[in-house]
Amino acid sequence: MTNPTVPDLASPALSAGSQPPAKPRPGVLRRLVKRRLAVLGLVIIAITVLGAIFAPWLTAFGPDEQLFDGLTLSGEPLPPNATYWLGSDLLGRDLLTRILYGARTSLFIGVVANGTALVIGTLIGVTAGYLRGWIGGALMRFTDLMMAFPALLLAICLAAVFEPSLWIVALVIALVNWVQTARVMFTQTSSLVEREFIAAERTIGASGARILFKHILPHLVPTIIVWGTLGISTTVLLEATLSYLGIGVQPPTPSWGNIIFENQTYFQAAPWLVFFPGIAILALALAFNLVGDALRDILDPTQRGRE
Amino acid sequence: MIAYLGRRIVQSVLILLGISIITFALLYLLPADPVRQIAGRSATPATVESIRRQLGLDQPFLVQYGRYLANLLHGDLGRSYIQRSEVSQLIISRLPATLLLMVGAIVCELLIGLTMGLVAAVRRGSRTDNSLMVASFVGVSAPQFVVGLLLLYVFAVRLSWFPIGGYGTFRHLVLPSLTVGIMGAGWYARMMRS
Repeated sequence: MTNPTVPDLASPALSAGSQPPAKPRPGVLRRLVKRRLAVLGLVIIAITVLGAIFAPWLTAFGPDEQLFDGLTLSGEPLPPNATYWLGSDLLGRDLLTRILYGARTSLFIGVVANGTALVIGTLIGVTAGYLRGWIGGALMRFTDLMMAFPALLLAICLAAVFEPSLWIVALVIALVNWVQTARVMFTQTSSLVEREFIAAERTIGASGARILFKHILPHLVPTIIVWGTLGISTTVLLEATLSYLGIGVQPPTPSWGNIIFENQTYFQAAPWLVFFPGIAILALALAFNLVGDALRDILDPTQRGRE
Repeated sequence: MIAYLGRRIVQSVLILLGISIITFALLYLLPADPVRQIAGRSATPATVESIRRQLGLDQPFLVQYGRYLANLLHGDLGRSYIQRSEVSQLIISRLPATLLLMVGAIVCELLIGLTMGLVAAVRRGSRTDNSLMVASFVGVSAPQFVVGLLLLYVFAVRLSWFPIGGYGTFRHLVLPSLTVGIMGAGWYARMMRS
């Protein structure tokens, strides 16, 4: 689930001179739209976001509503039909409704968990890269330690220690996912710190905070954007996996993972109950991967000309 | 060189130590109480206390951890309170299946990933290349439990090419290996291509 190719976004921009760092260029969105795959990703994300926001208006049913005619007389869920477009689940609830409301869960986790992970990762990575010395060393060893720790095992233990709620699930995922970001930020920051213009800033007496915020952080913005986007994909997958294992988002709150968890015993007879939420997870994770990858190509100057 | 190696080894030992502390702490913090599980529901508080003392679970955290670590260094992983057997034996009895699946998954990963990556690299920029790269993204983005259930449904339930469950023959190994291998294949394909 982790990305082995670590883009070195900041340094090439610097070799051109020690100009104040390039702000994300205004043309990024325009160039993004030129790529068909990125557009596909953006469209999927837009559909998911709109579906999540307008869920109550898009369906006539409630997410927890057990519908009177939602099951056959012998108690079986209904396959997709005119009333229940994606069929109904084991408890006679409309599957489409649950998937729409589940999008809220996925996006919430995607934004909160990934945002938290990004902040923790950036803080630790930049601190370690800037200070180095024994503090930096200790921070990075700690990062190594967390990286060697199987993410799923850690998440399972943490989820068992805390009472599961949406925020706890987000927190657990953040605690597992900051590691990658920290490593990338560390590499980038330490290569930045060695550049002449930082040394020059130091000689003219710039304070540490000034160097950090005016010179280092802006150079990291492209990396943060790329990893922030790719990270949402990882986060969405981890949430789905945890919920599938029954230790993530708890029913009746719908999440794409726990829809599959609730219905999988019945899946030989009612495969749609696994397929549709499965496709939803796949599509959203894929979308953020596509956009993140395109952003990396666009924001990474070394890639220019290869498009 | 030797100094470097030595430093790395010390670091990995420290990392392992750190992992053991975190794992131990997490288990210590778990709300589940093994003593109650062993004693059963009708046990008197006195029985529960005596079992707790027998197992040494009434000791403070550091004492428990120290004992665990000392045993670990002697190759003793301890006993499972619930399954009443040596942990090392539990692990070893499951090891062959894990290793087998690992080998199967790596084979799938390499076969699918390398082929896709090579073909894409040879035909760089073509339609084949584009669709292969999309496929690799799908592989990377697919949650394993969904892939597994899908493969099961198509190849075991519908087509009955492979058994649904069980362990022992080559046919049992195919679907699980594919499931685990698909995600890795996505990465391999992308790496191979570049």
